[in-house]
Amino acid sequence: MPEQEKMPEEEKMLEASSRKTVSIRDILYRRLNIYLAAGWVIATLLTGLAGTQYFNEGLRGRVIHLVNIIMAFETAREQDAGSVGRIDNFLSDQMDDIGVNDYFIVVILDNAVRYSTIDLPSEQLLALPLHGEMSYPSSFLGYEWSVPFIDWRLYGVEDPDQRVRVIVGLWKGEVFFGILTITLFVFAVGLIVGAVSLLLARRVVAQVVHPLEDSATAVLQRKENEMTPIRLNTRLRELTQIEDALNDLIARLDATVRRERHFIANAAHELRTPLAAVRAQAEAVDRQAVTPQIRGQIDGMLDATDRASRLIAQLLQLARSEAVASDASDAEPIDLVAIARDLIAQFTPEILESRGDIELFAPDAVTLPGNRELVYALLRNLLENAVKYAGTPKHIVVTVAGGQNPDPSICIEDNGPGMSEANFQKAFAKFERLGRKSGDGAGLGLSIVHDIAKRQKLRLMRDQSPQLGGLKVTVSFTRSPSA
Amino acid sequence: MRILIYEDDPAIGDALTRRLQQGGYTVDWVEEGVALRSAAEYDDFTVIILDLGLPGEDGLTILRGLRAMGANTPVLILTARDSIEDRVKGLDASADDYLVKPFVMDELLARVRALARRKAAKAQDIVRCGDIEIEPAGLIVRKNGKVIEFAPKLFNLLLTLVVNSGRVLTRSELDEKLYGWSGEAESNTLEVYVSQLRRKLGADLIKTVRGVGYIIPRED
Repeated sequence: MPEQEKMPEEEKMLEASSRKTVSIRDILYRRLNIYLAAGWVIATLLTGLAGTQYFNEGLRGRVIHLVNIIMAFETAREQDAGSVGRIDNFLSDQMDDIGVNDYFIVVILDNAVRYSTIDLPSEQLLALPLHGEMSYPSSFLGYEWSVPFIDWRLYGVEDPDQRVRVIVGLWKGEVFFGILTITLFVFAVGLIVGAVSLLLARRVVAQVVHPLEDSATAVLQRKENEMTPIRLNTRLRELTQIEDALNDLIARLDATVRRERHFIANAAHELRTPLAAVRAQAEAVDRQAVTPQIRGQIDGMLDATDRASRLIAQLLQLARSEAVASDASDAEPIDLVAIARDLIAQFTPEILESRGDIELFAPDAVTLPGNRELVYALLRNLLENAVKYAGTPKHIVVTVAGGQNPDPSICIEDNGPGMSEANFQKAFAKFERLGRKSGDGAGLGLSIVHDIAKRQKLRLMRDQSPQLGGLKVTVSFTRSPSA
Repeated sequence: MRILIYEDDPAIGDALTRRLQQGGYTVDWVEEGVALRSAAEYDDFTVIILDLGLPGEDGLTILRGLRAMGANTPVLILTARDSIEDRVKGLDASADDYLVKPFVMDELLARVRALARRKAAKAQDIVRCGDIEIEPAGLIVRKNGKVIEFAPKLFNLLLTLVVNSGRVLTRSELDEKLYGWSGEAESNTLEVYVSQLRRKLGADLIKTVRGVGYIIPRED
């Protein structure tokens, strides 16, 4: 597997967190806020502008109509002096509750003030023009307005005989305050409608974004080597499209991984079978029937097949350790003591043949989560090294600690020459030099041990064995929280 | 003693045949033998050596087939696959032992001898181990021709150790074999039995692998 594909988990996390990202939720909220605010302002402005225009026109039209009606009354037939006043009083009474004090009516008959609703001397009333403006303090809403709300617009008509003049004054503040009232009302309604829309929009956004977030969680929670199709449990077509695309990717990835594993297994078989043939043939030679020189050559062949088969086994272990997910989530419960017993049982015949001794000190069981294949390979390599480098006779002690109090660990000691810390560290790196340095497979074991320990987040410690004098390697299964 | 070998690699098959013949066995080597024999024919053999072959299933098919017929001959599997999963698969298909290629010939011969002893014990034939001779049918043990008396449980323990000589038997395996399941015996019963065996047969016969179990080392 190429190295860049197996980027360590921490780096991936780091990359994700430092990347500048924007949440769809934030974008939608911000946009909605802006659009609603803009709509609200524009609606208010348009209402104000259009309202001014139409309010003005409507008011003026009504006033002119009123003037003409009064004129018609005054000229059509003889009226007693109080008829206009009665109409006006009637109107004022009807509109008293809304405080209409924003217009006045002046009727002049034969150059004398016949009727007036404002308190001005009659010479001023008689001098009022038919069209134009005048200043007069209004008492709109019971309040005496001063500048600038004292302007009135005049609308007047005169009959052809110039006997009757009717003049109506309209307070300009009326238009201003009318528009102001309407605009404020629109403003307030906009505010309420906007706030409600925003709340509703937030709910809608949440409804859209939730499935997205759920999907991300579903994808994130998957184990690294889980190859079953993802189920996002959504009816949203956009998400099902993503789901399909992801599943397609997973299927292709799965196929690649399978091919790779298949290749590893096949390669092992293809290499091991001919190697077994060479070995079997070399061992089938009747040693008594050949010269010592040929016996020596046969031993050389056997030695070479030994190295080659160890190399194959170790390459397989390495390939497997890379194929297995590095996080602890795929862990199964494994019993360290059972694994240690199994391995020791395998090496015992060899050790007994050299009149040596191997001992295990352990509680009944130490069970913890881990990857069985990898932990097995790690301990097998350590034990293999111990058996290989132990003194004569071979003496090896394996100690498993764990259970309630001590942190789970396995410690393997031998009576060999030991190893300096520098060489121990160097042996870890050996595999990286393998490509250039062919031949000697020795020491590759430790590099695999190191690799597996790193992937399984275990700690390795080297020491000198106090009781046996050789190398003491401790594997601590306490996963450091920072790792 | 007859050995049946299923091996498609000519060089391995040839070498195995020659070495086993040198060891005094009669060897039938089948290079491509999916054709099944009858159970009786299989049972004529002392041990069957089965190569699992590249596709992986051929050998296992033969194994399942002969077990389905009721043939009890011990089967030693040769394979290039060494993962725990593969090992379990082989043993699940009721293989008796498992050797990864490339193998050491002496190791293979020792395993064959152990399987032969197992077959003999099952068939109530005489089982030999060094200077000890065991007659399972009569519960008789002879050391250098002299009969030594054993209680049935002690006899069973000795037979189990002898049949598996060259292999470490863990405490739980021994408990299971002696009592049907592990854990029934008191914790030191096994030690007591082993020390009784040592007293009667010599201290060197059974080695203790501390923390693991017991082994009778193979004698070669």
